[in-house]
Amino acid sequence: MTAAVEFQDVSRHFGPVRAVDGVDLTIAEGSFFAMLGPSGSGKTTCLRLISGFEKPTGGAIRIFGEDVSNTPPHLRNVNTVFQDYALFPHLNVRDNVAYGLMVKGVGRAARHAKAEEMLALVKLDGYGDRKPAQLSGGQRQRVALARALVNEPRVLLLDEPLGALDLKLREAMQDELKALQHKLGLTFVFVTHDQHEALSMADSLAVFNEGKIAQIGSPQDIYDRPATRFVADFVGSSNVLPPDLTRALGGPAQWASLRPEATRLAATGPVSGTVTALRYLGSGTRVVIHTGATEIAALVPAGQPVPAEGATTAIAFEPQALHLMGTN
Amino acid sequence: MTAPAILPAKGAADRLTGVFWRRPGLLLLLLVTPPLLWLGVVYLGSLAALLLQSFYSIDEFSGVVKEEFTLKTYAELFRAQNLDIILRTVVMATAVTLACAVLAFPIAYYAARYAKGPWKAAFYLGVMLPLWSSYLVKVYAWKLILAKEGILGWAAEGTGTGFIIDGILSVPFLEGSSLSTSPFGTFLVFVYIWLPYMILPMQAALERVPNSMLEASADLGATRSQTFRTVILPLALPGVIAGSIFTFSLTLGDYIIPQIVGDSSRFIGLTVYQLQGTAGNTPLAAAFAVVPILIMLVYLSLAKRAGAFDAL
Amino acid sequence: MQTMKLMATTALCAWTAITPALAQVTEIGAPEGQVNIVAWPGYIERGETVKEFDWVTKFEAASGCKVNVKTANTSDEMVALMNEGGFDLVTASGDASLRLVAGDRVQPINTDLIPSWSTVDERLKSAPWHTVDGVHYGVPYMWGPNVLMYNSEVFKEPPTSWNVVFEEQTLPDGQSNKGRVQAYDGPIHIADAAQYLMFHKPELGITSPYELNEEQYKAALDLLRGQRELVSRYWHDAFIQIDDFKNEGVVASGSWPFQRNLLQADGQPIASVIPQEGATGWADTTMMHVDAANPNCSYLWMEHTLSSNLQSDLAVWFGANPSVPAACTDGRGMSTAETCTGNGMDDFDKIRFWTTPVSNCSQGEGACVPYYRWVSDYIGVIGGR
Repeated sequence: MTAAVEFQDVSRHFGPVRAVDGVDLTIAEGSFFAMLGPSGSGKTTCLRLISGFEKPTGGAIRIFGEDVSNTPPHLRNVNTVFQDYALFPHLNVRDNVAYGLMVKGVGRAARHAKAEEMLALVKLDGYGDRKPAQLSGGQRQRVALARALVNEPRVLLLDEPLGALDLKLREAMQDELKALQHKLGLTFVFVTHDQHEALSMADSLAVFNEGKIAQIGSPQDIYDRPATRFVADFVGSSNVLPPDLTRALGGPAQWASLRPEATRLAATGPVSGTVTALRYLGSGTRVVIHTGATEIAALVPAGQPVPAEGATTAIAFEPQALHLMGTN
Repeated sequence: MTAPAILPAKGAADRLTGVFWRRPGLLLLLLVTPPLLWLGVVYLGSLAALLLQSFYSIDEFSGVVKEEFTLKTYAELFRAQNLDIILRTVVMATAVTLACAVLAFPIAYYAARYAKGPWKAAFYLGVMLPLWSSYLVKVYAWKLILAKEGILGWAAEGTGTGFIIDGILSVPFLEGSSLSTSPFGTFLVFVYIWLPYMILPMQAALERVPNSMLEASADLGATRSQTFRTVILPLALPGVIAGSIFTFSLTLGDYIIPQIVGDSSRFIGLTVYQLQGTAGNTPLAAAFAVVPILIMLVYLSLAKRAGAFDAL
Repeated sequence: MQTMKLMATTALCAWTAITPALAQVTEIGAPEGQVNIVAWPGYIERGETVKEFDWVTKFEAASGCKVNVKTANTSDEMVALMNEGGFDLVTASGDASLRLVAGDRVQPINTDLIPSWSTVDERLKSAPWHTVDGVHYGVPYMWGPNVLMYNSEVFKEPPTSWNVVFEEQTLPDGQSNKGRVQAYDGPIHIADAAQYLMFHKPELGITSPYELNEEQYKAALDLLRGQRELVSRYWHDAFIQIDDFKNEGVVASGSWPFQRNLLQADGQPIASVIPQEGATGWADTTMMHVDAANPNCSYLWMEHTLSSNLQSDLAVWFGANPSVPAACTDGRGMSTAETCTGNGMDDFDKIRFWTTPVSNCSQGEGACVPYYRWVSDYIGVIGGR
């Protein structure tokens, strides 16, 4: 597969701040790629390096093999869906969507036809005459999407595209975006700080921390086999075990991660603790066990007995469920 | 002992706040009544009196105002010399507004998008400072700057650029023995005096344009100039219009500057001043005073039609 | 009721209709304690601007009348203030005085109650701008000519004619007068043009520059249209004109002795002359409001204004001429025969004083062009029409 986007030792420093620091990255063509990380981790800067709103202070960026280090944004065949949508308030929906064609000099009739086509694609037929202010958040999001797609970019960049939507709408849009990406076969690169969103939507993702990529891989890889404590901590609800605890549980003296759903409760075992919190999740109950300095979560499937708060219990798991992450 | 669910009112202020909470309209009423009275009675009242006066006429023989309804006074506005005044004023106001807009835009743009911290403070200071000194002092200072033997003439002579001034002064309608006696001088002083009134609203409007809007435009393939024309300008337009309302109407009404700098040709403000003053021709003065109001109404409706307020 | 007697009774109204004006005051009673005066700026000085120029303090002490002054910048402001009421006296110029008389805003003056009346310049005693049908409506205060001021480096010999500001010509320094002369920015300047025509075009039959029929008026406007080509800027403010003579290269203009004095004091090569055609001028009169609340103090003040030391100092202060000729020579104030001559004291006959043009004039009912048209037409002339 061709690489849609390639970063080679790319850095973007703002004075002493290393927003992006020596990043190597390859995004395959046609993939749905997520950049995940907490705020200030460099993920958005990476997106802006692709769109051209930031210039790298070091390294090289290639889009479909072409070095774009000296290419201004308007000449890059990539488009962005902005976090705040950045719809033009003075233009109606149709003209917003047709904007990319207008600046290229496409005639009014042709660009309006294409805009209607795009609006149909995002299920907003008939909304062309409205002003952005007259639309709901979800509708604006779709307009932003239609507008970014009208130029038929080879890469679509999405900056926290669903951040402003409520939960239900967000889930619906996740499915739609995914479907759209399949339909168009485009490369989607999207930035998010929501690990569920990243894991559920992306074909592959990069986890950012302090300007560097902490881990890159498929959602499965990231979730099951976090490379570092940071990834394990950030990506999810995995238990992070310090080296002494790992050893106590029968492993080598290394940091390790253990998924709650792989953790079982047992009457006896090498490590035990007190139940400090219970949370009913519908499909099961999440039980938090306090063992010395570490809290370990276990997911008790529905139908199985749940210990009471304050009870003492031991921990058990299949040996292959323990994922080792090294000594630091 | 448990605390009561309702805390005791501590005094008049607590009780008053309670009254306002129960009747939110009351506070609003109390707040807006005085200014509304001011606006309604004093302002609209005087406007009505003005309109009324403009429908009176002056008796040809005695020069006494005849308090009978007539359109004769308005017809007088169409005498060639009065049309000259209106045209001259409108042309000047338009030129001043355009020049202010062109000069103010880069300044406002810089202040809104780039200036930070102390530079921003310096910008505000620089724009506001001229407003702190007396208007008359500034105008008299400009008279001296533009005078034949003034600073500008002296500098032009010293640098061998006097031909530029001579060139300006030989342009039809801008003739004069020096910049200070040329309509071009009047124009310069108007632009200087009103410029802050253009910069400030423009800057406020530009500040409200999010950066992502400009990035979105570039992202969609627009060049800088396309972004300027299709995004920045339309979004800044309410500010430009607000500023131009200031510069335009202030120029329409001013009667000091053309008295001190320029070739003594009358502008609307000066004519009103003179007609109601020395001539005692209050009806014609009132009719002249109605002209800027009409011009502003036409201007605003044109601006509205052009979509100037779409981004509001 | 004081000893003053008011004659405005119903019974007397019928009688006054036959002899329309008779002084309301027949006796001066006890002073009321104050007098309220509308005056031109600089006309009533109490030593606050320059210590030596004070003609109020002593009067207040001697009469017990406190002097309250409201300054007004135009004749119309004065008329408006007098219409509002609340004032006792006004220093009205000729273009305001007749309007005040016609509007019944001022009352006839009983000259018998003003001992110094006998000292007033004979030429002013019955001047038409305050005397109507033989009745005096005020006491002359001050007068002055509108002189031709010129730059004495350009004009080695004083110009003999107003043509230097009316007609394009080469001045003695070899350059054109275009852009180097000024004219007064007030419609009353039409009278200056008319006066010039009186001398140079007698066939027009102008008898007074303030009484112009349509034909004469048109000729005056035509002359002014030609003048517009010469004038870069008209003057209306004395200090701006002073600045223009210093910084704008203006070398000749109609002006007041006031500006000439200030320019000369500044060391500028400036002089003035009353050319062969004569000059227009202004003469101000202290007039008394018809409803004056303080008539006794008013009469005391009018008497005081005619004291020769006041007249003498005022003449120097304002660059004008006293209404009491003795003020020039009796040495009671700062004026001397020379300063009076410099201000135009001897040129009275050459001067035609400002008066409001009205349509009913000596040429007949409605024969003359009234003032309001002067205003609008002069605006047109300055605007290039």
